[in-house]
Amino acid sequence: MTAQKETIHFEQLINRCVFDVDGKKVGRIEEAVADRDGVVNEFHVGSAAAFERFASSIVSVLGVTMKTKGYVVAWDRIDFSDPKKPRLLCDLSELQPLE
Amino acid sequence: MKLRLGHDLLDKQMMSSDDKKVGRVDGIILELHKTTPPRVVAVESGIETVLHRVHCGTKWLRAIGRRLHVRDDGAAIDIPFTKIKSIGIDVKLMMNVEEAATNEWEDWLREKVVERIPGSGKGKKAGESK
Repeated sequence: MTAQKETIHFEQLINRCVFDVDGKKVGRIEEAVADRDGVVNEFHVGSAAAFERFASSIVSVLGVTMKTKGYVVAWDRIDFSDPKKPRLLCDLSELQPLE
Repeated sequence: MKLRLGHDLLDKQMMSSDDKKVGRVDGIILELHKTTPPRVVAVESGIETVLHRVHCGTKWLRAIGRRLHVRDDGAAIDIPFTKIKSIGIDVKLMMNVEEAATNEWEDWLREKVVERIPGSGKGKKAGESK
């Protein structure tokens, strides 16, 4: 028996809303972090991740502090069986906040 | 080394092994597996992937491409992740322009349109910067 493999386009995951186990919005997928071999270990979710992607350097230069929320979601804590509606497989409190 | 796919890879310029531009990283294909982490298997390049990102025009672009014999299968071009040599300001590939075959639309336009314009001389090959 061969293991079932699916493919997904990362660019289509960006900005997709992630929902928790209760169906509440957690934030949007903004980034995926991989190692040099291309193995994706974590996804960054939420507005803090968006700032990390686009504006962290500008914000830090200007010395502006902004209230943003973001989480680091390990690869095994997110379910992409419906790529249009990714879901968390754990409680929000178990996620590591993004700093 | 940590590689942030959105920040470090997506939309970056790709350079062939002979230092010619071979398009941008327009898409990243992840392979999902139930028991192991997702893995980047390939990057995609081409107008079709860009249009797919903005949710328009991919079907008719494929049809036009097939009709004009730009690319018979009409699909986007996948470059295996293993063919990426390094990722920095540019994404350097371990393949040349012909192997990458990302410039089919540009080559078609050069051959069929640009070279036929009086005074154009011989059109530059896609990817030549000088």
